[in-house]
Amino acid sequence: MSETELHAWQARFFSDRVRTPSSGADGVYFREQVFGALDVLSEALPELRDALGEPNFRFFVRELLTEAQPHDAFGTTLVEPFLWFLLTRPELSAHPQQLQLVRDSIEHLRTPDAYV
Amino acid sequence: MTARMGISLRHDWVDSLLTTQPPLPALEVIFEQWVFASDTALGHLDQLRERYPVLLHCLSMNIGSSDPLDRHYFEQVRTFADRFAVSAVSDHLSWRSIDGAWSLSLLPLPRTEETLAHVAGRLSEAQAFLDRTIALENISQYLPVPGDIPFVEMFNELHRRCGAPIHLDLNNLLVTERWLGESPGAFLEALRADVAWVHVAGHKDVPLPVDDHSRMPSAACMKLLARVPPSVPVILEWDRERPAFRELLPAISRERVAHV
Repeated sequence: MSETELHAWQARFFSDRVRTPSSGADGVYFREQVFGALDVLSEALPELRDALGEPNFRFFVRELLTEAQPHDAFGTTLVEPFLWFLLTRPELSAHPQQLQLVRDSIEHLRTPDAYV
Repeated sequence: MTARMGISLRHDWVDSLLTTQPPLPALEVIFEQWVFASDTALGHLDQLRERYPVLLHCLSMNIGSSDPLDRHYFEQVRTFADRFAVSAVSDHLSWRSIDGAWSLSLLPLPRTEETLAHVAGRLSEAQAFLDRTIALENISQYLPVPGDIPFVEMFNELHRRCGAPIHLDLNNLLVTERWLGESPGAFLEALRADVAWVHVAGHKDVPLPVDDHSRMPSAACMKLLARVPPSVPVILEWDRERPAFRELLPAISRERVAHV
């Protein structure tokens, strides 16, 4: 397996196992991707999760991870891409209170003690 | 009572740790959980570092990826490691990104000679940049990968080529056994690489278990720990369903009694 073949194998693995929803053993990395993001974002954004409702929150997390991979998706660094992603979603355009909460959260990230 | 185990630090334990200052042998700090921390939080970590040896555990070196190494990330790691005078640094024998898209999970690598050469080259570069050896952790593996080099030999060989020790995760050996049938005992028997430190953790016992760090270590995990020399630091990881700190410490001490 040359460097080129390793790159091709990793690209295929990522596409098939991480980005594609699947059940059972084959879906383990996709589930970890979604559940991991839910853990991080639920802990960091409890008010937003409550305002959106749990099923909607899960929907947006899943959409984020399948449509627009954040560049750095670990820990608190996942929060900001998620908020910007929400601002672009048409599903939220008729919900000014939730959108304001998203904008307030983005503004909060600019304060010195935003991250713990 | 002094615990043999240290803990992998989580933000919600910091206040209690500063207040009670229990006699722990070491603290592990996850770089990604602190890299954007506020000055106040970093000040707390300064105080903890004066009391405890700090081991720095990273998640995004991306040593096995085909993407270029992220020099800015390594600069941040080096600055952090210098500031907190960490005792050792580790990441994982894995990859997380391809063409700039990132996974939340640590992904497995083919077990081939070409992979070894690829990782050894990047690991040497990273170690030179940090001016430190980087221990590599054995991840939980859920699916088969190409190649026929035994997993343990990947670590033995990286130690031989790059001087990199293993960051030995005993629970990951147990989870991998459930998915792939690979024996933890055989892994430990064949391990020749130095061990930088050990992770212990527990997971939910379900048909397809994942390394969720949601329990105290199982009896099987503690049995494996008995095969590790007492001089090697041991760190408990706990993420999901995390207990309050006041409940954690007695549990650690009990584990020590059970283990000794």
